[in-house]
Amino acid sequence: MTDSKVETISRLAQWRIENFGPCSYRRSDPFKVGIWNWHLSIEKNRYLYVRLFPEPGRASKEQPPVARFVLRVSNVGANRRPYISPVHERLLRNSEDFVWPVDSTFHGRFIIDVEFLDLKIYSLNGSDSCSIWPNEIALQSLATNSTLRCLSRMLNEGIHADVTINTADGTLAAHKAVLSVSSPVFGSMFLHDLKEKESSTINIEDMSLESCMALLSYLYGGIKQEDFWKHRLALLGAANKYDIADLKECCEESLLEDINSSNVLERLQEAWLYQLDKLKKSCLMYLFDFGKIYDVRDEISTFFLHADRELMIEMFQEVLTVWKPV
Amino acid sequence: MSHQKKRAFNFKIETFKRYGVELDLKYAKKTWKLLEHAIHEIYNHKASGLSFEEHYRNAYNMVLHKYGEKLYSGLVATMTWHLKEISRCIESARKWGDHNMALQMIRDILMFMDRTFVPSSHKTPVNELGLNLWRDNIIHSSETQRRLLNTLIDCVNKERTGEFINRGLIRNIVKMLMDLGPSVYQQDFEKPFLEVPTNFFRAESQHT
Repeated sequence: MTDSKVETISRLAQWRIENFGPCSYRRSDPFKVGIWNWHLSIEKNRYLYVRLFPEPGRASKEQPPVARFVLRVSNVGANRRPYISPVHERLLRNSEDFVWPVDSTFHGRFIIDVEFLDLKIYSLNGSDSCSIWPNEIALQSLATNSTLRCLSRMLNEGIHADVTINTADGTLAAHKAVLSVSSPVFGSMFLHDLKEKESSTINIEDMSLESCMALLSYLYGGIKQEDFWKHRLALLGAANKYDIADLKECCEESLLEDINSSNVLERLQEAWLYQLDKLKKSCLMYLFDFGKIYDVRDEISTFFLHADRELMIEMFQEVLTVWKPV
Repeated sequence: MSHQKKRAFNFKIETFKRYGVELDLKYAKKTWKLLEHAIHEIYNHKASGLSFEEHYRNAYNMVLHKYGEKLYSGLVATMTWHLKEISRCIESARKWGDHNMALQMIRDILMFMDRTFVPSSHKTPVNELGLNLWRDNIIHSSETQRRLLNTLIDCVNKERTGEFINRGLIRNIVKMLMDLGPSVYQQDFEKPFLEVPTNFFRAESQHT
């Protein structure tokens, strides 16, 4: 009985064949190196033909491997020099892509080693193939996840927290360093010899405890979708006040997603206040291009009574663009 | 601000947000008074008790609610007033370090104005404004300009004849002039400065 199992460690695969026996062809079980399952096969003819190919399937079809490798065939025990292939580098899709004829006969036990020097994913669209080693993507995502876990714990458990935030209705603990790198306003706050630096306390009277917690969760990378959704108006205000550009943009995108008749005037007001051009444009289009102004007939009179003059001018101009007298 | 007043003020902001009511001028005046007081405290070295968040928020609300112009012109007036005060004292150039530190604090407290109001209304950013005001009120005040130039030339002459001079002072003055921009350094000092050695060496050569 010949064992068809291939053992692997790191980048080395080893197939120990106890006895080739009377057969002329043998294929190994699949073995995994990199992201592919591989097979080795041997065929005895005039030469011993050794083949290396990936298991047919999705991985080998959509992400075919380009392998750089060395093969080595040696008899166990016998005092014979092993046969070592040159370094090959090729695209391997099926069993015809690589075959190595060894001009020798092997009796008894022998071993086939495949040492992969590099494995790349062949690029189907012509760009550069990229190596799967070192596995940078996996490393990066591992590091990111672990950092996020640490930051969340720092916030939630107050680990070495060094600043107290008094909101309108409660107190939170945070870290000067995290606040400072997230916002130039906090950065300056702790730079100068003013009250906050000395007392390590910030009085943020214009935020509620909950919305301030949502802001901190965002800065510490662990905000939940529902909290973002619930507090996005407060977050927008905070992002504008503390100059956190990506959060501001994210809030604007979110507010663009659910404009309707009952909130369009409020949204327009927010867009005007915080100079959100995309949101403002969308609200104006919703009202005038799509004619929804007739749905808010009652509210619009109150709105016009109080709205900023410049905003009124812009609204009027939008009406003029849309309005086509017959 | 008393508690009740604060609530009234917050309510006003809420109303503004909901219906677009303009914050009234009274509010803007009151807020500016607080900021003006803060600027005075900063120049008087009493800043350690000031809250950055509170004053940043006040300035932020003024700019957000379209009182940027009031804030900016108030800043120019207050800073000019302080610099005129400084220019009256004998060694006004020595206050350069103080002014610089005050300027950085004020610039950061008014960061939101610098970011939004200043570019949209084509004003000079706070830091540059502070340097310009210093140049116009201190360096270009005829009294200081003459004294500063004489001191520098005097020092250099003294050193040429082997006397001990305060090099630290010279270094600070030259650095200040460089910080104010190449034009200040060149026009106000480099030119008259280069004329002096000519005279000095002419006199020296006649001695021998």
